[in-house]
Amino acid sequence: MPQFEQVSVFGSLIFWSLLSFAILFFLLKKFAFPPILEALEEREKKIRKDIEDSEKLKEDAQTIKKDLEETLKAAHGKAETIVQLAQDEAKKFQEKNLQETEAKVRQVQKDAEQEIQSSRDKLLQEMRSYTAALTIASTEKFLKKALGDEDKKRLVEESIEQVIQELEKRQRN
Amino acid sequence: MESPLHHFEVHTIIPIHIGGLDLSINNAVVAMWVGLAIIAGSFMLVVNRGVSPIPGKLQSVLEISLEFIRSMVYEFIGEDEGKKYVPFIASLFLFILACNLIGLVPGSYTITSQVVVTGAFATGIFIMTLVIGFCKHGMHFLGILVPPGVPKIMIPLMIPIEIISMLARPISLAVRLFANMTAGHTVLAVLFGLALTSPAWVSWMPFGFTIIINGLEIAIAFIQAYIFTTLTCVYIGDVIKLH
Amino acid sequence: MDNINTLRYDGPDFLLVDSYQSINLMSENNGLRQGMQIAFRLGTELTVATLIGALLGHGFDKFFDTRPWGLAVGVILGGAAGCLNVYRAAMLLTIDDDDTNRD
Repeated sequence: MPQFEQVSVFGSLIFWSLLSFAILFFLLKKFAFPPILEALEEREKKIRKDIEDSEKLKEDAQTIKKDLEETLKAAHGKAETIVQLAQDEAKKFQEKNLQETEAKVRQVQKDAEQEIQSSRDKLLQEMRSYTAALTIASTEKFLKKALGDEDKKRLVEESIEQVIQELEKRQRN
Repeated sequence: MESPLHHFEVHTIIPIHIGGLDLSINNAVVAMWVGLAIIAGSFMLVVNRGVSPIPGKLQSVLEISLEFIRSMVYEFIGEDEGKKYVPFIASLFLFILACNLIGLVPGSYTITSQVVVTGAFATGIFIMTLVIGFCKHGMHFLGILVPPGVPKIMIPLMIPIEIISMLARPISLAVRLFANMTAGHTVLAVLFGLALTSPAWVSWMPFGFTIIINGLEIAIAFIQAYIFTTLTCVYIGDVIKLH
Repeated sequence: MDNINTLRYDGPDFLLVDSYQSINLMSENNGLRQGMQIAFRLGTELTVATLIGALLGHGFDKFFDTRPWGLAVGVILGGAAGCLNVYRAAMLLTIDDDDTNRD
């Protein structure tokens, strides 16, 4: 192997390689690395900052979103209350209306009943008087001579009573 | 057919002798310089053009590699201590990577396949870790030879074991890089030799393999540069943290 | 240009690869190459440590003329050191595995 046999070149190889490395190291360290490393660090810093910023923005957005959601919820609640109130009001109004109408109807019914009652009573009274007169007249004609005043009157009363009873019985039925 | 190890031979291009030392510039050194020039040139290009917040293609490649090395250093040394080692580790990674990759160009030379070069780097790193350790902890640094939780009776046994284990680190570091580079290039050379010498109707097979292995070698060039630098980080981290 | 990226996907030594790379490694189907790399790495650790122990023992023998005891003890200590290094490397390996699983 020449790497072990060519002893004469070892000195120059070691010398030149170490020297070249030293020069390369010096040149790179002095001129090349600082700006590039600085750029790297700056970029890293910028990226870190950007990430932090974006995280912050994200947090802000989340807060805003939460706020919005809360507001929306509150508005929803309000709207529901309003609707509820309106419904209640409507219900109340409806009930009131219904009651009033019912009362009116009842009043009208009562009035009508009263009217009917009164007119019937009047009619009955009239009928009674008519019947009385008619009966008296007819009976008078019929029994002009057979009966005295006293009997006449009693008989008339009796017949009237009978008629009335009859009427009442009929009415009851 | 020439030996598959033939291309590991170094040829002197410009002979330089200083005080009995042979410091001749040879093909290995020239290949290394080409690789380093590409690295340094691309960095200079980016820096001269101005480092923009929105990186271009070349800048993002360099940034990715630096970012990668920096995260590695931070992982093994720690963020506060590691900061000042980033340029060194990055240069080391780029140096080894450039040498590994330039060697894959046919006709050039992989200087990292020279065990003396990897050995020199590993030794340098080893000495550096010792210096860092003594600067940081003073005489307490010798405590690294006694792992925590070892019973007192075991200490005389553990100290030589730990010394050997410490000494083994740079050598295994150097041997790993050298062996990987040498093995890969030897395989390539054998296959290429086969492709050249075999008749045309079979030569496409070793030639195809050469291309496949070359792709694999690119991956290995990265991996070995990565392992070398990672282990350097681990060793530096060890002497800084002291267990 | 893509070469830097291939590093992320091809680094088989997940021994020391950080976690997000390990995920890529896991998804890539290169288990054999990974295994070879780990075996090679652990093998080097053991061999080198044993050799160093032997070398130190040999040196000790030369200095104090204790042949062959220095060499014998050195090899044993070197083997122990190698086991220690392999153990440490393997511990790093399992820690990294855990990392991967946690991710």
